Amino acid sequence: MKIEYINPFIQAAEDTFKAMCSVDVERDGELTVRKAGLSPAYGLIGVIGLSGSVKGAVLMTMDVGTGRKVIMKFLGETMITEADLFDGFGELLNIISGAAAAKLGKVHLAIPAVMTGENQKIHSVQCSPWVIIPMRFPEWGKFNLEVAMEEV
Amino acid sequence: MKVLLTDDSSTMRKIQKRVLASMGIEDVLEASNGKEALDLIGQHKFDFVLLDVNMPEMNGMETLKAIRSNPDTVKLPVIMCTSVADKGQVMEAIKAGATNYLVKPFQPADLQKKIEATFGK
Ligand SMILES: [Mg+2]
Repeated sequence: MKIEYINPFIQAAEDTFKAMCSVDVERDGELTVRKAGLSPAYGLIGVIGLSGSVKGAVLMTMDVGTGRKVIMKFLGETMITEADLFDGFGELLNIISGAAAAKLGKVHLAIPAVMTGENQKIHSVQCSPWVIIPMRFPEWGKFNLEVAMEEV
Repeated sequence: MKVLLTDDSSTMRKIQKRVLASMGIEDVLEASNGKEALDLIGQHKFDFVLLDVNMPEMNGMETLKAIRSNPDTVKLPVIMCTSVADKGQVMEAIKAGATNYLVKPFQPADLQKKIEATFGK
């Protein structure tokens, strides 16, 4: 996977959280690569497929507690429902992926899916390995963006 | 003013609804996909429609084309609201008859400005 595919996602995450949640995000360490196969996942897990001039998927994961803070800020409300949490998390992933995709060519986004659980496993069947981008909200904690993509 | 909000994200609709309320627009109906939007457009007279692009069932581009191909709604103002905003897709929406275009992510003030610009305020 080309490294040029990564920067648009970092930029899109910064822009999206800044505009929609008035919060800054920063990188939290080096990029790592996860080979195809099973890997552990926990907390909130959102995934969205991309097709068109590139194909692949984008994944965002964070603790449920961090996610609640993010969605409270997104909605501008101090009380949020479980439905708000899932819906808001998926929509933020949709916005980040769309903003990044606009820089990658003619790309179509699928509908995001969001799940949660303590002992999830993500089974990657992508030919392309996942690149994990560790990021954090300075006050709320870590999150990961993970991108698997290849040219068509 | 009567407005139709169309977005598959309920949280996004809440955010948009709050912006409209701050502009004094309280008469708002909501749809979560294009099919629901077309149903409501058939039953009510809206001053404008805010239309998300990435939605299940029927996406925003298909919905816009359906709105423009119906003589009753050919002039209905439609502001597209989308996250995939490369030049090609913006051009496609303008060609298909979008009145205006708002790119996600946006700040609440951007939505208000876009609505005001659309209605020449
Ligand atoms: Mg959508």
